[in-house]
Amino acid sequence: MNILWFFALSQIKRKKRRAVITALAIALSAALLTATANFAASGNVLLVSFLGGDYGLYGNAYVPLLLIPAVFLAALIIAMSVIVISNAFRISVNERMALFGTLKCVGATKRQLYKTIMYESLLLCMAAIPVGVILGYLFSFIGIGIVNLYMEELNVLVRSMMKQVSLKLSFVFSPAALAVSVAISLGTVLFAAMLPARKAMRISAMDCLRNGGETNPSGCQRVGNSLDAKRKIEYGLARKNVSSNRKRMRSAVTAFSISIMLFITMSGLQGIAAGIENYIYADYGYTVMADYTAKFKNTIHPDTGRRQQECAYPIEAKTAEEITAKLREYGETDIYGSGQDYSTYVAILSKQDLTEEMRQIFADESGAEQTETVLEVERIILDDQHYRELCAKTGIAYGGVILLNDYKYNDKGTERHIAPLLAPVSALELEKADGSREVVSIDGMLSTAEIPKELMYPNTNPIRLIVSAEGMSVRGYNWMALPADQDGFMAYAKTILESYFPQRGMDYDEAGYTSRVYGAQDFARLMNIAIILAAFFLYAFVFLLGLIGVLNVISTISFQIKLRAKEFAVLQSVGMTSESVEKMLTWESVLCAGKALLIGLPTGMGIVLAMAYCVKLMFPISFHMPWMAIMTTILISFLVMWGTVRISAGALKKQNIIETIRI
Amino acid sequence: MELLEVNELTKIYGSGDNQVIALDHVSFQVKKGEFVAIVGASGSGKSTLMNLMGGIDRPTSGSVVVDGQPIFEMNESALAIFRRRNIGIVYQFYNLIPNLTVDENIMLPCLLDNRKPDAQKLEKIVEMTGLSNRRNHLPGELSGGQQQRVSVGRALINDPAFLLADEPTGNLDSKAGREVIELLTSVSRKENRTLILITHDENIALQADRIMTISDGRIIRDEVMRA
Repeated sequence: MNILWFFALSQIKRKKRRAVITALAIALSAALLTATANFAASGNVLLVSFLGGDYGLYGNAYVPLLLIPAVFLAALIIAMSVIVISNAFRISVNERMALFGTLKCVGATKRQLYKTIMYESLLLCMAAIPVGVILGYLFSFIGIGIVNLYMEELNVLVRSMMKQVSLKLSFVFSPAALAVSVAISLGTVLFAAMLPARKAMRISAMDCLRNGGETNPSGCQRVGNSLDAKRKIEYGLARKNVSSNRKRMRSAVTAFSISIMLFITMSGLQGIAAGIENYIYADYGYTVMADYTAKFKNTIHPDTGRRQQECAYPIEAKTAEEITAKLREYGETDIYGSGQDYSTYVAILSKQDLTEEMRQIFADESGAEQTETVLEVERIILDDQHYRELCAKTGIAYGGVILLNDYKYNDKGTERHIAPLLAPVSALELEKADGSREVVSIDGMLSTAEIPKELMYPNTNPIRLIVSAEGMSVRGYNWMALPADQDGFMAYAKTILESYFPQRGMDYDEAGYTSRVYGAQDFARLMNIAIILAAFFLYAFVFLLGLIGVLNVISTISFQIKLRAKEFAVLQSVGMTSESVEKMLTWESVLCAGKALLIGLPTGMGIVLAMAYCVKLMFPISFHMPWMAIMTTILISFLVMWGTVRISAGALKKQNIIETIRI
Repeated sequence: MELLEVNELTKIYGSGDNQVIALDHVSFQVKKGEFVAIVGASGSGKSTLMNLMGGIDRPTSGSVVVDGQPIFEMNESALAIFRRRNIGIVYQFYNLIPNLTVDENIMLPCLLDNRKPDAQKLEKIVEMTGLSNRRNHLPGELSGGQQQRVSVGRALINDPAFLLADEPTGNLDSKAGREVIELLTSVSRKENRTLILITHDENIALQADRIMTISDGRIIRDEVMRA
């Protein structure tokens, strides 16, 4: 065997425990990379089966859906792995400085020293990467199994709400994904080993021999805090040690901080997702929704340049009323029918027409107060029975126009309702995309509190008018129901809608319309499944990545304690009891964990707050800082540090003070 | 014929107020086959001089010429290879590789050259160092004297131009120390090999052909004991 390979192998044999920890870190890194690549490959197969070979209309979906998340996760894994593996090799190199010094003195070149470290990394790769790949496939296999547990429920929901689908994530063996993950794993390890190997190359033989393993004097820095009688000596020494050894502990603290930050970020993300779910889950007064939606096309009017909507198959109010009647025949439930026309009109309003609050909102949005305000108008038709009831409630004659004087907006995460128009409103001037205007008289007005909750759905326009259905046709119509037998009603409603709007196996694009019957909470359930799956994978990912960080902490601390055996022996020789040494080490572990927390916690919380802020700009969700996760993180951090120090320090008890000092 | 030329060799550690002049314009020549002892008090600059002659450290100024080759004009890799092939170094603390056997430790400079040493030569060195019955032992299984003899064997394996020994008996008892000095002097005399030995021990120094005394980084005395 070549002497350089021999040195690499013998280092692994001599330092079995650390070699195992390093190999575990490499294996975990390779496993995560393999699992990520394999999931991307499996996801690709699923999307191809769903959308077609070139992703059909969603031809660009591969990049945002698969490639970007995979690259992001891979970058995180690589960053963490480089920190951890590099640290393991730095320790390995530091341990062998005296050996390198001797080798240099007997004529080993820099290149030869570099090679022996790189050979060590290659040997570890040869053992760890195949294990990691197998582990990665196992993770993928289990992960895909878990996804498929939820997939059928997901399919049922998607089928009822959107499209006839049969999604199933398959375990895919992709040689390309395998090659990519092995190449990246190997590259990561070699790069990580290269950094300390280059450092070893640069150190002179004299330094190697003189310092016998402690080559970097800057690793131990002079620190300002001095020992005094005010504090316990154990704490004083620990503080001094942590400050002066900060360079040596940097990688452990950094890796640990990253783990803490990721864990807090994931917990925060889950909290945000739960907030969105709660928002979607709001009670709108029904449990089953049947709807019809016609395909539309947004165009620009050639004369006015304004957006207009073209729709080939709008639903006539008469047809909607017939369907309402048929659905009522099922019994047990009231049917609330409503249809919306969103893009036909805008209202031209002067400053005097708007309430102070509404003016303020528009001033905030545009940056200056406008003299004329153009607001989108939503015309709503109701089934005859509910329209009559609403007219009676408002005190107007049947056939009149009712203004729903409520504007719902997201005030940086809080849903607020305000009256947009100053009462009384007797008429509104509406304008079409072609520029033609008409004045609509307003016969009655309902305030926020008076509006039926069936009309409080999420996306509403600032000006909403309930108009007579007479002669109207609209792009979409909903039938809301609260049946006792939900499944029975849904089956019945599907038959009715299918008889009016036969899909004939065509989807929304091909048929030009779609009709659906689904549970009011199906979106929330869909979201819930997505959250469960995302949380499972993200937590598994963070856990494994965190494990790599913890391995690094264990490896660094145990090495540092071994390296400092002489220092501890000296302390004991001058009268420090072994209990005091242990106390000092416990303080050191507390200070190190504190340091990692001091970096990881605020960063994680900052990221969570930033994410929550961005999401709150889109959804009015309630969000709380994940305090439970933060407390757990703090507890685990101290436990890991303290446990590692205790175990490593235990080995020191067996050492003879005099022999240790002589070394 | 001069085998080694040391010209105006200066080594300064640190800078400013912390500056320490370890060697101050030291110059001398050593002939082939000569046995030179360098003596001096602790901190006088002996080891610095040895490290510079061995090409382990680089000087602040001055040069070292071995067999006509100015060694500090070489780059680091070339110097390492030159050291491997032309200079044998024996340290006070042996500096053996703990997981290599006696044979392997002796062969190390050859192994670094990716070649196997001549079996006869290895045999001769092992016999000469009195380690024939310890060939497969690890350094940890040997006495201090035996370890130092392995170190001498390693220094000799490549037939170096000269041997440098830095207080080779400093860590040994008197009997083991005597054996190591006998080994080194016999190699020097029988093989006409240049030996430069750093020592505290006057009795050892007296066995040399020439004694140089160093103090505060300068050669203050250079006496030829025998021609």
